[in-house]
Amino acid sequence: MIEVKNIKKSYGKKQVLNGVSFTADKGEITCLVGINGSGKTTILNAIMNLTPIKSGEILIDGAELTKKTYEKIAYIPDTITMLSSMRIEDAFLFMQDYYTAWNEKRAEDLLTFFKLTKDEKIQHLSKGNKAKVNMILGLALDVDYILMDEPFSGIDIFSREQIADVFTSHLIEDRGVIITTHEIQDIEHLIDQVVLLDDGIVVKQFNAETVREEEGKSIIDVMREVYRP
Amino acid sequence: MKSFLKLLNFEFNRFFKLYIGIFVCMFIFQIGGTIVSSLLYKKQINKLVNQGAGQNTITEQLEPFGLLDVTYSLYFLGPLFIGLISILFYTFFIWYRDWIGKNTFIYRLLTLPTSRMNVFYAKLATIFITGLGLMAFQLFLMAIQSKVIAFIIPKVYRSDLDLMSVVYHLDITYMLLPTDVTEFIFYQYIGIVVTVVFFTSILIERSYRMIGNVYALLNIGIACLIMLAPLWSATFFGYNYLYGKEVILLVLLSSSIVLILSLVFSHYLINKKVTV
Repeated sequence: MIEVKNIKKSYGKKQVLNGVSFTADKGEITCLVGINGSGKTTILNAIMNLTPIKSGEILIDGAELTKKTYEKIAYIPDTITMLSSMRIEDAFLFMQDYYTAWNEKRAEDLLTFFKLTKDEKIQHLSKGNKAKVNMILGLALDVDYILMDEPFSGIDIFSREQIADVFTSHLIEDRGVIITTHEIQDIEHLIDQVVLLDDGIVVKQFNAETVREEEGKSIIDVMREVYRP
Repeated sequence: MKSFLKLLNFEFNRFFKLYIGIFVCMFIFQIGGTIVSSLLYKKQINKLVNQGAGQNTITEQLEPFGLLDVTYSLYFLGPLFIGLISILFYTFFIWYRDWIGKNTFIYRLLTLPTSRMNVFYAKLATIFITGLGLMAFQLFLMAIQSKVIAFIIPKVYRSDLDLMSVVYHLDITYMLLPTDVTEFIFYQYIGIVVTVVFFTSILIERSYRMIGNVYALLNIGIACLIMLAPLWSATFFGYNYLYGKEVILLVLLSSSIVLILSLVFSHYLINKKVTV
Protein backbone atom coordinates (compact mmCIF):
# COMPACT_ATOMS: atom_id res chain seq x y z
CA MET A 1 0.00 0.00 0.00
CA ILE A 2 1.16 3.54 -0.75
CA GLU A 3 0.38 5.85 2.16
CA VAL A 4 0.58 9.59 1.66
CA LYS A 5 0.31 11.22 5.08
CA ASN A 6 -0.31 14.92 5.53
CA ILE A 7 2.27 16.08 3.01
CA LYS A 8 2.95 19.77 2.56
CA LYS A 9 4.87 21.43 -0.21
CA SER A 10 5.30 24.96 -1.43
CA TYR A 11 6.99 26.59 -4.40
CA GLY A 12 8.25 29.88 -3.03
CA LYS A 13 5.28 31.52 -1.31
CA LYS A 14 2.74 29.38 -3.14
CA GLN A 15 1.50 26.48 -1.02
CA VAL A 16 0.88 23.67 -3.52
CA LEU A 17 0.14 20.82 -1.11
CA ASN A 18 -1.36 21.72 2.23
CA GLY A 19 -1.63 18.48 4.13
CA VAL A 20 -2.55 15.88 1.50
CA SER A 21 -3.35 12.40 2.78
CA PHE A 22 -4.65 9.35 0.96
CA THR A 23 -3.83 5.70 0.45
CA ALA A 24 -3.55 3.60 -2.69
CA ASP A 25 -3.89 -0.16 -2.42
CA LYS A 26 -2.32 -2.86 -4.49
CA GLY A 27 -4.77 -4.28 -7.05
CA GLU A 28 -6.66 -0.99 -7.30
CA ILE A 29 -6.60 1.97 -9.65
CA THR A 30 -6.54 5.23 -7.73
CA CYS A 31 -7.19 8.37 -9.72
CA LEU A 32 -5.99 11.79 -8.60
CA VAL A 33 -8.31 14.44 -9.96
CA GLY A 34 -7.93 18.19 -9.77
CA ILE A 35 -7.73 21.31 -11.87
CA ASN A 36 -4.39 22.42 -13.36
CA GLY A 37 -1.95 23.42 -10.65
CA SER A 38 -3.74 21.44 -7.96
CA GLY A 39 -0.56 19.50 -7.21
CA LYS A 40 -1.28 16.13 -8.84
CA THR A 41 2.12 15.83 -10.55
CA THR A 42 3.86 17.16 -7.43
CA ILE A 43 2.31 14.33 -5.41
CA LEU A 44 3.61 11.71 -7.86
CA ASN A 45 7.04 13.36 -7.89
CA ALA A 46 7.05 13.42 -4.10
CA ILE A 47 6.15 9.71 -3.91
CA MET A 48 9.16 9.00 -6.18
CA ASN A 49 11.39 11.34 -4.13
CA LEU A 50 11.86 13.55 -7.16
CA THR A 51 10.90 16.65 -5.25
CA PRO A 52 11.33 17.34 -1.53
CA ILE A 53 8.33 17.86 0.74
CA LYS A 54 8.22 20.34 3.60
CA SER A 55 6.55 17.95 6.00
CA GLY A 56 4.53 14.76 6.11
CA GLU A 57 5.40 11.20 5.32
CA ILE A 58 5.16 8.85 2.37
CA LEU A 59 5.31 5.10 2.98
CA ILE A 60 5.42 2.31 0.45
CA ASP A 61 4.43 -1.03 1.95
CA GLY A 62 5.03 0.52 5.36
CA ALA A 63 8.56 1.74 4.67
CA GLU A 64 10.15 4.94 3.42
CA LEU A 65 11.46 4.95 -0.12
CA THR A 66 15.00 3.68 -0.67
CA LYS A 67 16.97 2.91 -3.83
CA LYS A 68 15.59 -0.65 -3.74
CA THR A 69 12.03 0.68 -3.82
CA TYR A 70 12.60 1.66 -7.46
CA GLU A 71 12.48 -2.06 -8.24
CA LYS A 72 8.88 -2.20 -7.04
CA ILE A 73 7.45 1.12 -8.11
CA ALA A 74 7.48 2.52 -11.65
CA TYR A 75 6.80 6.08 -12.69
CA ILE A 76 5.42 7.04 -16.08
CA PRO A 77 5.60 10.86 -16.29
CA ASP A 78 3.83 12.83 -19.00
CA THR A 79 7.00 13.08 -21.09
CA ILE A 80 9.37 10.32 -22.12
CA THR A 81 12.16 9.59 -19.68
CA MET A 82 14.68 8.29 -22.18
CA LEU A 83 17.16 10.09 -24.38
CA SER A 84 15.55 11.09 -27.64
CA SER A 85 18.68 10.00 -29.51
CA MET A 86 18.06 6.39 -28.47
CA ARG A 87 16.31 3.76 -30.53
CA ILE A 88 13.56 1.84 -28.74
CA GLU A 89 15.88 -1.17 -28.51
CA ASP A 90 18.56 1.01 -26.82
CA ALA A 91 15.97 2.15 -24.31
CA PHE A 92 15.03 -1.48 -23.59
CA LEU A 93 18.71 -2.38 -23.20
CA PHE A 94 19.18 0.50 -20.79
CA MET A 95 16.24 -0.71 -18.68
CA GLN A 96 17.53 -4.28 -18.75
CA ASP A 97 20.95 -3.07 -17.65
CA TYR A 98 19.76 -1.32 -14.53
CA TYR A 99 16.50 -2.97 -13.41
CA THR A 100 16.33 -6.59 -12.31
CA ALA A 101 12.53 -6.12 -12.49
CA TRP A 102 12.71 -5.51 -16.26
CA ASN A 103 10.63 -8.06 -18.16
CA GLU A 104 11.89 -8.15 -21.75
CA LYS A 105 9.17 -10.55 -22.88
CA ARG A 106 6.47 -8.22 -21.66
CA ALA A 107 8.22 -5.26 -23.29
CA GLU A 108 8.24 -7.12 -26.62
CA ASP A 109 4.55 -8.03 -26.22
CA LEU A 110 3.64 -4.44 -25.49
CA LEU A 111 5.65 -3.27 -28.48
CA THR A 112 3.61 -5.61 -30.68
CA PHE A 113 0.40 -4.51 -28.97
CA PHE A 114 1.17 -0.86 -29.73
CA LYS A 115 2.32 -1.74 -33.27
CA LEU A 116 5.79 -0.27 -32.82
CA THR A 117 9.16 -1.57 -33.98
CA LYS A 118 12.36 -1.71 -31.99
CA ASP A 119 14.59 0.06 -34.48
CA GLU A 120 12.62 3.31 -34.40
CA LYS A 121 14.41 6.32 -32.98
CA ILE A 122 12.56 7.97 -30.11
CA GLN A 123 13.05 11.47 -31.54
CA HIS A 124 11.30 10.43 -34.76
CA LEU A 125 8.20 9.11 -32.99
CA SER A 126 4.95 11.05 -32.85
CA LYS A 127 3.77 12.37 -29.48
CA GLY A 128 1.31 9.49 -29.16
CA ASN A 129 3.95 6.86 -29.94
CA LYS A 130 6.38 8.48 -27.50
CA ALA A 131 3.69 8.19 -24.84
CA LYS A 132 3.28 4.52 -25.72
CA VAL A 133 7.03 3.86 -25.46
CA ASN A 134 7.05 5.70 -22.15
CA MET A 135 4.23 3.48 -20.99
CA ILE A 136 6.08 0.34 -22.09
CA LEU A 137 9.13 1.41 -20.09
CA GLY A 138 6.98 1.52 -16.98
CA LEU A 139 4.64 -1.41 -17.61
CA ALA A 140 7.40 -3.85 -18.59
CA LEU A 141 8.82 -3.63 -15.10
CA ASP A 142 7.61 -6.35 -12.75
CA VAL A 143 6.66 -3.88 -10.07
CA ASP A 144 3.89 -3.72 -7.49
CA TYR A 145 2.96 -0.10 -8.10
CA ILE A 146 2.74 2.12 -11.15
CA LEU A 147 2.35 5.88 -11.11
CA MET A 148 1.06 7.48 -14.31
CA ASP A 149 0.93 11.20 -14.92
CA GLU A 150 -1.58 12.28 -17.55
CA PRO A 151 -1.12 9.28 -19.85
CA PHE A 152 -3.77 10.59 -22.27
CA SER A 153 -2.53 14.16 -22.50
CA GLY A 154 -2.39 15.45 -26.09
CA ILE A 155 -2.85 12.03 -27.65
CA ASP A 156 -5.24 11.19 -30.50
CA ILE A 157 -8.39 9.18 -29.82
CA PHE A 158 -7.11 5.89 -31.27
CA SER A 159 -3.92 5.99 -29.23
CA ARG A 160 -6.01 6.87 -26.18
CA GLU A 161 -8.15 3.81 -26.80
CA GLN A 162 -5.06 1.65 -27.09
CA ILE A 163 -3.64 2.99 -23.84
CA ALA A 164 -7.03 2.62 -22.11
CA ASP A 165 -7.10 -1.00 -23.28
CA VAL A 166 -3.95 -1.59 -21.27
CA PHE A 167 -5.93 -0.87 -18.10
CA THR A 168 -8.33 -3.73 -18.78
CA SER A 169 -5.52 -6.16 -19.56
CA HIS A 170 -3.49 -8.45 -17.31
CA LEU A 171 -0.72 -5.84 -17.42
CA ILE A 172 -2.41 -3.83 -14.71
CA GLU A 173 -4.07 -6.64 -12.77
CA ASP A 174 -2.88 -7.08 -9.18
CA ARG A 175 -0.83 -3.93 -9.32
CA GLY A 176 -1.49 -0.71 -7.48
CA VAL A 177 -1.92 2.17 -9.90
CA ILE A 178 -2.05 5.86 -9.14
CA ILE A 179 -3.06 7.87 -12.16
CA THR A 180 -3.66 11.55 -12.79
CA THR A 181 -5.82 12.46 -15.73
CA HIS A 182 -8.09 15.09 -17.18
CA GLU A 183 -9.62 12.62 -19.60
CA ILE A 184 -11.52 10.77 -16.90
CA GLN A 185 -14.24 9.57 -19.28
CA ASP A 186 -11.68 7.31 -21.00
CA ILE A 187 -11.13 5.19 -17.92
CA GLU A 188 -14.03 6.12 -15.65
CA HIS A 189 -15.38 2.57 -15.64
CA LEU A 190 -11.98 1.19 -14.58
CA ILE A 191 -11.22 3.44 -11.63
CA ASP A 192 -11.56 2.04 -8.11
CA GLN A 193 -10.64 4.96 -5.89
CA VAL A 194 -10.96 8.66 -6.64
CA VAL A 195 -9.05 11.39 -4.81
CA LEU A 196 -10.36 14.89 -5.52
CA LEU A 197 -7.84 17.67 -4.91
CA ASP A 198 -8.42 21.37 -4.59
CA ASP A 199 -6.29 24.16 -3.16
CA GLY A 200 -3.65 21.72 -2.01
CA ILE A 201 -5.93 19.49 0.03
CA VAL A 202 -7.95 16.34 -0.56
CA VAL A 203 -11.54 17.54 -0.71
CA LYS A 204 -13.00 14.09 -1.16
CA GLN A 205 -11.83 10.50 -1.48
CA PHE A 206 -14.34 7.87 -2.47
CA ASN A 207 -14.78 4.45 -3.97
CA ALA A 208 -16.20 4.86 -7.47
CA GLU A 209 -18.16 1.61 -7.39
CA THR A 210 -19.75 2.35 -4.00
CA VAL A 211 -20.85 5.83 -5.08
CA ARG A 212 -22.20 4.39 -8.32
CA GLU A 213 -24.19 1.68 -6.53
CA GLU A 214 -25.34 3.55 -3.44
CA GLU A 215 -25.85 7.07 -4.79
CA GLY A 216 -26.25 6.35 -8.48
CA LYS A 217 -23.62 8.92 -9.35
CA SER A 218 -20.76 8.75 -11.79
CA ILE A 219 -17.31 10.13 -10.97
CA ILE A 220 -18.05 13.16 -13.14
CA ASP A 221 -21.29 13.78 -11.16
CA VAL A 222 -19.33 13.84 -7.92
CA MET A 223 -16.69 16.08 -9.50
CA ARG A 224 -19.43 18.55 -10.52
CA GLU A 225 -20.76 18.60 -6.96
CA VAL A 226 -17.30 19.28 -5.57
CA TYR A 227 -15.84 21.68 -8.13
CA ARG A 228 -19.09 23.43 -9.21
CA PRO A 229 -21.32 23.40 -6.14
CA MET B 1 30.28 -0.65 -8.28
CA LYS B 2 28.70 -2.41 -11.25
CA SER B 3 26.08 0.31 -11.57
CA PHE B 4 28.76 2.98 -11.31
CA LEU B 5 30.78 1.42 -14.13
CA LYS B 6 27.68 1.06 -16.30
CA LEU B 7 26.77 4.68 -15.67
CA LEU B 8 30.34 5.78 -16.37
CA ASN B 9 30.31 3.94 -19.68
CA PHE B 10 26.92 5.45 -20.46
CA GLU B 11 28.01 9.00 -19.60
CA PHE B 12 31.25 8.65 -21.54
CA ASN B 13 29.39 7.45 -24.64
CA ARG B 14 27.10 10.46 -24.42
CA PHE B 15 30.12 12.78 -24.59
CA PHE B 16 32.00 10.70 -27.13
CA LYS B 17 30.88 12.49 -30.33
CA LEU B 18 31.70 15.93 -28.97
CA TYR B 19 34.95 14.58 -27.55
CA ILE B 20 36.03 13.17 -30.89
CA GLY B 21 35.05 16.51 -32.43
CA ILE B 22 37.45 18.29 -30.07
CA PHE B 23 40.24 15.84 -30.97
CA VAL B 24 39.64 16.29 -34.69
CA CYS B 25 39.66 20.08 -34.30
CA MET B 26 42.91 19.94 -32.32
CA PHE B 27 44.49 17.59 -34.84
CA ILE B 28 43.54 19.62 -37.91
CA PHE B 29 44.56 23.01 -36.53
CA GLN B 30 47.68 21.99 -34.64
CA ILE B 31 49.13 19.62 -37.22
CA GLY B 32 47.97 21.80 -40.12
CA GLY B 33 49.40 24.89 -38.42
CA THR B 34 52.71 23.14 -37.79
CA ILE B 35 52.96 22.04 -41.42
CA VAL B 36 52.15 25.52 -42.72
CA SER B 37 54.53 27.35 -40.38
CA SER B 38 57.32 24.82 -41.03
CA LEU B 39 56.85 25.25 -44.78
CA LEU B 40 56.87 29.03 -44.43
CA TYR B 41 60.09 28.82 -42.44
CA LYS B 42 61.59 26.56 -45.07
CA LYS B 43 60.52 29.03 -47.74
CA GLN B 44 62.49 31.71 -45.92
CA ILE B 45 65.55 29.43 -45.89
CA ASN B 46 65.17 28.68 -49.59
CA LYS B 47 64.82 32.39 -50.35
CA LEU B 48 68.09 33.11 -48.55
CA VAL B 49 69.77 30.17 -50.29
CA ASN B 50 68.59 31.51 -53.65
CA GLN B 51 70.08 34.89 -52.72
CA GLY B 52 73.38 33.07 -52.30
CA ALA B 53 73.50 33.05 -48.50
CA GLY B 54 75.53 30.32 -46.87
CA GLN B 55 74.52 28.15 -43.93
CA ASN B 56 76.21 30.44 -41.39
CA THR B 57 74.54 33.56 -42.78
CA ILE B 58 71.15 31.86 -42.68
CA THR B 59 71.55 30.72 -39.06
CA GLU B 60 72.64 34.26 -38.19
CA GLN B 61 69.62 35.82 -39.90
CA LEU B 62 66.97 33.29 -38.93
CA GLU B 63 66.23 32.08 -35.45
CA PRO B 64 66.20 28.27 -35.38
CA PHE B 65 62.73 26.79 -35.59
CA GLY B 66 61.37 24.12 -33.28
CA LEU B 67 58.43 22.75 -31.36
CA LEU B 68 58.74 25.53 -28.82
CA ASP B 69 57.90 28.12 -31.50
CA VAL B 70 54.85 26.09 -32.44
CA THR B 71 53.58 25.99 -28.85
CA TYR B 72 53.49 29.79 -28.63
CA SER B 73 51.33 30.09 -31.72
CA LEU B 74 47.61 30.71 -32.00
CA TYR B 75 47.02 27.51 -33.97
CA PHE B 76 48.49 25.55 -31.05
CA LEU B 77 47.03 27.42 -28.07
CA GLY B 78 43.65 28.14 -29.74
CA PRO B 79 42.52 24.50 -30.20
CA LEU B 80 43.99 23.56 -26.79
CA PHE B 81 41.95 26.30 -25.11
CA ILE B 82 38.88 25.30 -27.10
CA GLY B 83 39.35 21.73 -25.82
CA LEU B 84 39.78 22.89 -22.23
CA ILE B 85 36.84 25.29 -22.42
CA SER B 86 34.69 22.53 -23.96
CA ILE B 87 35.43 20.25 -21.03
CA LEU B 88 34.79 23.09 -18.58
CA PHE B 89 31.50 23.80 -20.36
CA TYR B 90 30.64 20.11 -20.29
CA THR B 91 31.24 20.06 -16.52
CA PHE B 92 27.99 22.04 -16.30
CA PHE B 93 26.25 20.64 -19.34
CA ILE B 94 26.72 17.06 -18.13
CA TRP B 95 24.05 17.85 -15.51
CA TYR B 96 21.89 20.42 -17.25
CA ARG B 97 21.47 18.32 -20.40
CA ASP B 98 19.34 15.94 -18.31
CA TRP B 99 17.06 18.75 -17.15
CA ILE B 100 16.82 21.46 -19.75
CA GLY B 101 14.35 21.69 -22.64
CA LYS B 102 12.08 18.76 -23.27
CA ASN B 103 14.60 16.39 -21.74
CA THR B 104 13.32 14.56 -18.71
CA PHE B 105 16.07 11.97 -18.56
CA ILE B 106 16.82 13.13 -15.03
CA TYR B 107 13.58 11.36 -13.98
CA ARG B 108 15.16 8.10 -15.12
CA LEU B 109 18.59 8.76 -13.65
CA LEU B 110 17.17 9.62 -10.24
CA THR B 111 14.84 6.63 -10.15
CA LEU B 112 17.43 4.00 -10.98
CA PRO B 113 17.63 1.30 -8.31
CA THR B 114 21.12 2.37 -7.34
CA SER B 115 22.63 5.04 -5.13
CA ARG B 116 22.08 8.48 -6.63
CA MET B 117 25.68 9.26 -5.77
CA ASN B 118 26.66 6.73 -8.45
CA VAL B 119 25.18 9.16 -10.98
CA PHE B 120 27.27 11.92 -9.38
CA TYR B 121 30.49 9.86 -9.38
CA ALA B 122 29.93 8.64 -12.95
CA LYS B 123 29.62 12.23 -14.17
CA LEU B 124 32.67 13.22 -12.13
CA ALA B 125 34.74 10.33 -13.49
CA THR B 126 33.65 11.20 -17.04
CA ILE B 127 34.97 14.75 -16.66
CA PHE B 128 38.18 13.48 -15.06
CA ILE B 129 38.85 10.84 -17.71
CA THR B 130 38.06 13.16 -20.61
CA GLY B 131 40.36 15.79 -19.09
CA LEU B 132 43.17 13.26 -18.76
CA GLY B 133 42.48 12.01 -22.28
CA LEU B 134 42.73 15.54 -23.65
CA MET B 135 46.13 16.02 -22.01
CA ALA B 136 47.38 12.67 -23.32
CA PHE B 137 46.15 13.56 -26.79
CA GLN B 138 47.91 16.94 -26.59
CA LEU B 139 51.15 15.18 -25.71
CA PHE B 140 50.63 12.79 -28.61
CA LEU B 141 50.02 15.71 -30.98
CA MET B 142 53.17 17.44 -29.77
CA ALA B 143 55.17 14.32 -30.55
CA ILE B 144 53.71 14.31 -34.08
CA GLN B 145 54.38 18.04 -34.46
CA SER B 146 57.98 17.43 -33.50
CA LYS B 147 58.25 14.75 -36.21
CA VAL B 148 56.58 17.06 -38.76
CA ILE B 149 59.11 19.82 -38.05
CA ALA B 150 61.97 17.32 -38.27
CA PHE B 151 60.62 16.06 -41.60
CA ILE B 152 60.30 19.51 -43.20
CA ILE B 153 63.18 21.51 -41.75
CA PRO B 154 66.83 20.39 -41.99
CA LYS B 155 68.48 19.64 -38.65
CA VAL B 156 70.90 22.53 -38.88
CA TYR B 157 68.09 25.10 -38.83
CA ARG B 158 66.12 23.45 -36.05
CA SER B 159 66.14 23.94 -32.32
CA ASP B 160 65.48 20.39 -31.20
CA LEU B 161 64.22 20.17 -27.67
CA ASP B 162 62.88 17.00 -26.20
CA LEU B 163 59.13 16.89 -25.55
CA MET B 164 59.35 17.26 -21.79
CA SER B 165 61.54 20.36 -22.08
CA VAL B 166 58.96 21.98 -24.35
CA VAL B 167 56.19 21.06 -21.91
CA TYR B 168 58.27 22.58 -19.11
CA HIS B 169 58.75 25.88 -20.99
CA LEU B 170 55.09 26.72 -21.53
CA ASP B 171 52.94 27.52 -18.47
CA ILE B 172 49.72 26.05 -19.81
CA THR B 173 51.24 22.75 -20.92
CA TYR B 174 53.26 22.51 -17.72
CA MET B 175 50.12 22.97 -15.65
CA LEU B 176 48.33 20.30 -17.64
CA LEU B 177 51.28 17.94 -18.01
CA PRO B 178 53.74 18.56 -15.18
CA THR B 179 56.89 16.56 -15.62
CA ASP B 180 57.03 15.80 -11.90
CA VAL B 181 54.74 12.96 -10.78
CA THR B 182 53.91 14.58 -7.43
CA GLU B 183 52.96 17.82 -9.13
CA PHE B 184 50.92 15.91 -11.68
CA ILE B 185 48.96 14.17 -8.91
CA PHE B 186 48.59 17.49 -7.05
CA TYR B 187 47.10 19.27 -10.09
CA GLN B 188 44.81 16.32 -10.85
CA TYR B 189 43.61 16.25 -7.26
CA ILE B 190 42.90 20.00 -7.27
CA GLY B 191 41.08 19.51 -10.59
CA ILE B 192 38.86 16.83 -9.02
CA VAL B 193 38.11 19.03 -5.98
CA VAL B 194 37.20 21.99 -8.21
CA THR B 195 34.91 19.77 -10.32
CA VAL B 196 33.20 18.43 -7.18
CA VAL B 197 32.66 22.02 -5.97
CA PHE B 198 31.09 22.90 -9.35
CA PHE B 199 28.87 19.80 -9.19
CA THR B 200 27.76 20.71 -5.67
CA SER B 201 26.93 24.22 -6.86
CA ILE B 202 24.89 22.80 -9.75
CA LEU B 203 22.96 20.60 -7.30
CA ILE B 204 22.40 23.63 -5.06
CA GLU B 205 20.96 25.53 -8.02
CA ARG B 206 18.84 22.52 -9.04
CA SER B 207 17.53 22.25 -5.47
CA TYR B 208 16.80 25.89 -4.70
CA ARG B 209 16.43 27.23 -8.27
CA MET B 210 16.41 31.10 -8.38
CA ILE B 211 17.87 31.78 -4.95
CA GLY B 212 20.00 28.70 -5.54
CA ASN B 213 22.10 30.71 -8.00
CA VAL B 214 23.19 32.97 -5.15
CA TYR B 215 23.84 29.98 -2.84
CA ALA B 216 25.80 28.27 -5.63
CA LEU B 217 28.06 31.30 -6.11
CA LEU B 218 28.47 31.54 -2.34
CA ASN B 219 29.45 27.87 -2.27
CA ILE B 220 32.14 28.45 -4.91
CA GLY B 221 33.37 31.55 -3.04
CA ILE B 222 33.57 29.77 0.32
CA ALA B 223 35.27 26.74 -1.26
CA CYS B 224 37.90 29.01 -2.86
CA LEU B 225 38.40 30.80 0.44
CA ILE B 226 39.02 27.52 2.29
CA MET B 227 41.14 25.94 -0.43
CA LEU B 228 43.38 28.97 -0.75
CA ALA B 229 43.44 29.72 3.00
CA PRO B 230 47.12 28.68 3.35
CA LEU B 231 48.02 31.24 0.65
CA TRP B 232 45.89 34.23 1.63
CA SER B 233 46.28 33.78 5.37
CA ALA B 234 50.08 34.04 5.01
CA THR B 235 49.66 37.39 3.26
CA PHE B 236 46.80 38.55 5.47
CA PHE B 237 48.45 37.70 8.79
CA GLY B 238 51.88 38.69 7.57
CA TYR B 239 53.75 35.45 8.14
CA ASN B 240 55.83 33.81 5.47
CA TYR B 241 57.98 31.35 7.36
CA LEU B 242 56.48 28.30 5.67
CA TYR B 243 58.42 26.48 2.97
CA GLY B 244 56.81 26.07 -0.42
CA LYS B 245 56.24 22.36 0.15
CA GLU B 246 54.56 23.05 3.49
CA VAL B 247 52.19 25.51 1.83
CA ILE B 248 51.34 22.87 -0.79
CA LEU B 249 50.66 20.34 1.96
CA LEU B 250 48.36 22.83 3.67
CA VAL B 251 46.57 23.48 0.35
CA LEU B 252 46.13 19.73 0.00
CA LEU B 253 44.67 19.60 3.50
CA SER B 254 42.29 22.52 2.93
CA SER B 255 41.27 21.06 -0.45
CA SER B 256 40.55 17.72 1.22
CA ILE B 257 38.29 19.49 3.72
CA VAL B 258 36.45 21.16 0.81
CA LEU B 259 36.20 17.82 -1.00
CA ILE B 260 34.72 15.97 1.98
CA LEU B 261 32.27 18.77 2.82
CA SER B 262 31.20 19.07 -0.82
CA LEU B 263 30.64 15.32 -1.17
CA VAL B 264 28.61 15.16 2.06
CA PHE B 265 26.55 18.16 0.99
CA SER B 266 26.06 16.76 -2.52
CA HIS B 267 24.91 13.46 -1.03
CA TYR B 268 22.31 15.34 1.01
CA LEU B 269 21.16 17.47 -1.93
CA ILE B 270 20.85 14.68 -4.48
CA ASN B 271 18.95 12.45 -2.05
CA LYS B 272 16.82 14.94 -0.16
CA LYS B 273 16.61 18.27 -1.93
CA VAL B 274 17.02 18.04 -5.66
CA THR B 275 13.87 18.55 -7.69
CA VAL B 276 13.07 17.50 -11.26
